[in-house]
Amino acid sequence: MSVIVENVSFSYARKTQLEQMVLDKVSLKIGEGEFLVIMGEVGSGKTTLVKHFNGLLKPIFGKVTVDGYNAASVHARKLVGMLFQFPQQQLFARTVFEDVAFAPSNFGISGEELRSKVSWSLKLVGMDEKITSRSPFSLSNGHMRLVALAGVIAASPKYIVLDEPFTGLDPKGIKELSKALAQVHAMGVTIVVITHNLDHVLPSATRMVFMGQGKIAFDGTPDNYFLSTLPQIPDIPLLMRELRRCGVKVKDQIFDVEEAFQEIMRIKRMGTAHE
Amino acid sequence: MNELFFSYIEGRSVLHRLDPRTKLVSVMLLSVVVLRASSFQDMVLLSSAFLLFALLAKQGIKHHLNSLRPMLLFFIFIFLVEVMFSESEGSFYLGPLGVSYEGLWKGMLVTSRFILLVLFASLLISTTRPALITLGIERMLRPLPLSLLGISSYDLATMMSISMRFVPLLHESLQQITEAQVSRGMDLRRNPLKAIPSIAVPMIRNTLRVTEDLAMAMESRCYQGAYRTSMLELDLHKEDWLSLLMLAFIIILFFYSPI
Ligand SMILES: Nc1ncnc2c1ncn2[C@@H]1O[C@H](COP(=O)(O)OP(=O)(O)OP(=O)(O)O)[C@@H](O)[C@H]1O
Ligand SMILES: [Mg+2]
Repeated sequence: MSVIVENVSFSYARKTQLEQMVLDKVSLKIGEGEFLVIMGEVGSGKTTLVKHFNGLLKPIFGKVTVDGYNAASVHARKLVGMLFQFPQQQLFARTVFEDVAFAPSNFGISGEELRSKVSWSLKLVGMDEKITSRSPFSLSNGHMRLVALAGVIAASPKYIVLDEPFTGLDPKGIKELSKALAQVHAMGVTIVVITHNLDHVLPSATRMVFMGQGKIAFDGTPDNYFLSTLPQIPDIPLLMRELRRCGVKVKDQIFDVEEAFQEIMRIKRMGTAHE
Repeated sequence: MNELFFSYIEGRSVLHRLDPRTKLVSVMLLSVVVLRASSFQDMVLLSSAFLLFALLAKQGIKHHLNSLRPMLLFFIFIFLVEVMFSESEGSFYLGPLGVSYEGLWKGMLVTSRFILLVLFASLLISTTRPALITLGIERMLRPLPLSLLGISSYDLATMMSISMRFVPLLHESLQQITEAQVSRGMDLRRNPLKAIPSIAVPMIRNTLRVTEDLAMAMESRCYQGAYRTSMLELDLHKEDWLSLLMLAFIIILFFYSPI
């Protein structure tokens, strides 16, 4: 069971002067349990690609299926939850509870089941139960986003797609959100994240796709990505790659400053032990 | 970016080169004519005038038809209102509703008037830079004693052109919000009572925020209304007088038409 994108081409503004190819024969298969990070240049078609996953856009050529269903079908839409760049824009209800309940109640869940779904998803993103009766607009930016994510999780999708969810968050908000994502992933939900900053999701990412000009320029593991010559490699993996190239034997899987510091100290100790 | 309707399209046609004041006056006069149009012939005449202008603008009809799309619901609404509330007796029944041919004709007339208004406005906007529209309005308003009301002609012109500029922007934000709610299972047809607030509330909040941001951005760039100097100067050319003459001819033809 997976999201399968087969040879998909797409352009906006068909048959006008403004028409241009945005996706050019893109093929991609996203398996269950993956944590896929999509990166790429500005305007390379990342948003356009993921909008095909739940049928908001329909391919001009090619086909998109979700667990075998056409992506534009109601069935597929239930399977794929989508969170856009400024998800706080979608909040509208009087209370956090009502807002999180919006999606599941649209899919026919009600009563006690709905209530437990809502508190379960709020807990999963690390939000306090106490906020359920507050207005979503009274929350901080980061918490609004967590509530919006809870609103997507509450519909129990198998796949959650997030389009640049970290933009405009402070470091604390980023940490909370990436923790929430890791938690949702650990529950068995497949995650697809578009981001410009790999740092935020690196520990969880199992796979990387890099897009350039409507095509997939790279598809592989984060480790292989760091060996490539593509742009936007985060600082710490880049530093490790350069050290390795100079003959320093650093370990794999080092993503943050703390780990890098420990590793460098370890090598330093080894060096002094030799003398 | 959704730049497909109600926005300026670069070009060099006659219509692009005309003075903005000429185009503004023309659209205003044409709007008066459109609102007075009452027969089938009138509509044919005005539609042909539109087609002629669109041809002159060299942009293709498609762009202007796109401008109608966001207002489709409105057109359907006024059509239905006109059909349902027209006075005469029903000549046939659509469900429980009595519908008369006269009502149908009236509905079509009123709807096509609005469609023509939008089309002419789209023509103006797509062939005139926003800055020039502002400047044109400002020059035309200058003789009015607006300062008595505490505003300058420049403020008024700026307000008008900004509101026009906001149409595509608002449409884009509407589209984004709709997509987000559709992804959460919103269904406008099956459950409108729940769907409408889920779009309207974020839409209103967004609009308020955007206007506030814009006002602040303008102030921080030292916008001071009337004290501004202009980068562009306006001049009426031979083409302008010629087109105004042509327009006068069309209007005379319209009001005193032998048919
Ligand atoms: N609604 C639209 N109408 C017309 N063109 C569009 C529309 N949305 C996007 N485009 C164009 O399609 C191309 C790809 O856009 P897309 O939003 O998919 O890029 P992206 O990779 O998500 O970029 P970003 O990093 O800026 O979010 C861009 O050139 C953009 O101008
Ligand atoms: Mg994008």
